[in-house]
Amino acid sequence: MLTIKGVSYHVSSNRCLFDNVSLKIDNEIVGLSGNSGIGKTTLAKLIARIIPLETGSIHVEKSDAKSNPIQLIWQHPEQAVNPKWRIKRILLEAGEIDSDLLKKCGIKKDWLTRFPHQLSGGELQRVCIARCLISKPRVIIADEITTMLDGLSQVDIWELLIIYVKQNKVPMLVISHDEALLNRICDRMINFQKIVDLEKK
Amino acid sequence: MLWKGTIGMTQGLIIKNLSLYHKYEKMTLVNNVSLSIAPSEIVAVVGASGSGKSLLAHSILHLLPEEIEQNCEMLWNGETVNQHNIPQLRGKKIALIPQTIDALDPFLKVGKYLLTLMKGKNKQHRLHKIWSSLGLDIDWLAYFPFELSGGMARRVLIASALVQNPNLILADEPTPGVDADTLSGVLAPFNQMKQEGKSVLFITHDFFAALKVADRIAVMDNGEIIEVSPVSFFAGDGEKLKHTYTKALWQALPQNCFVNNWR
Repeated sequence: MLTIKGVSYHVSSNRCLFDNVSLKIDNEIVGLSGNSGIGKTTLAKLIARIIPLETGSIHVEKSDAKSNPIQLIWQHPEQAVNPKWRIKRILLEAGEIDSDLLKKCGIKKDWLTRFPHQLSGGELQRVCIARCLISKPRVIIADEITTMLDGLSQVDIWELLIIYVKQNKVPMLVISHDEALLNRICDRMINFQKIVDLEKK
Repeated sequence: MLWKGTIGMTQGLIIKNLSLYHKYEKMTLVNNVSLSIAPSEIVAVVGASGSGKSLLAHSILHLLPEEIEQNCEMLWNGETVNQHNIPQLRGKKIALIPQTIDALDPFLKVGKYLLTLMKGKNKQHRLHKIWSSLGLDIDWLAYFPFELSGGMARRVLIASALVQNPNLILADEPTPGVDADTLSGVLAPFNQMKQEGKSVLFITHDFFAALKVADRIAVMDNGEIIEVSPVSFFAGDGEKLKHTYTKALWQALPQNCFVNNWR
């Protein structure tokens, strides 16, 4: 379970992106939609503790994992990997490489010796998804993760993530503009605009 | 037939037998690709990630790294395009919408950066017009690239091509991260270009965006174009589509069956 209480974010001292946002996600897949620029990605980064919290709190079940139990898969994979590391090292950072998992993610063996710039956007995103699963996360936040993938890869990736979260009872927050996709995979949906407006009232 | 539409075509872009070969990896990346884009035409390119779609756009502008060997015959308005005369077309007649915000200057506010790409008079006025037509707020001109959200960044990248006032835009995945409300605003300039006799190569994974603006859709798999079909073929279960891969790609969409029939 993931509990978010009273989280706010200020871009500058007089510009507030959102204020006092609270959310509770059980072991379910929750879709988060809303117009661009209203702070969905910022909220995702706050939950994953990539941006330090200003106010409020975030609770997640205890885990013995070495890495961050809340794993964020980024919208732009090229910003989420060290450009100087080969793919193998990028994956090893999360834990032991499971070749079966790599196969399921559609990662070819010869990619392991390449650098990030030698893979296409969609290929690099698969690496990031594999890295997330290798670290055995307790919460997954997927921020527009499959927009750069073709339909067939999209089906494969979501199948893989859904099996992981259902088997391991892990909450997953899916941020996307693709309503049809959210309708397919999510247990319930939240419109970010609405929860922000609610707090403003 | 890929070649049918191009017989007698003198205007627009014609690519004949494009092959790309990686010298060090000893690997063929793109094999024998032929495609034409006529004036007032929008051609979408879809296909698996890594199938060579972005390479196609970059090879048209001769932007590929040295380790990739490029072989093809390319004609722009009837004249041969090669690495010697491409600088006269690049950013002038043919502009690229890049895939990532890495293409923006991280140290320049986006408004200032876009002005550097523009030529002629009334730059500020023209920029504001394009900027607001994309549904962007004038205040955002003063943002640095890192301050942009995903959806804003896409539109700034589109603006970066539009300000160059080209005759052909190579749009490399311009729509991910753009919400449904903004999508029509993002696609409007492409329709506008079409009406002005200009053309767009629209590389995308978003079939529904492609269906809204494109005339034809080319499907790439494994470095080859396996099918070019009119948008009307992409309907229902895809029974009019020729190739089984294209059918599987169509059926995999969440709006359709959301299954992978290609495994």
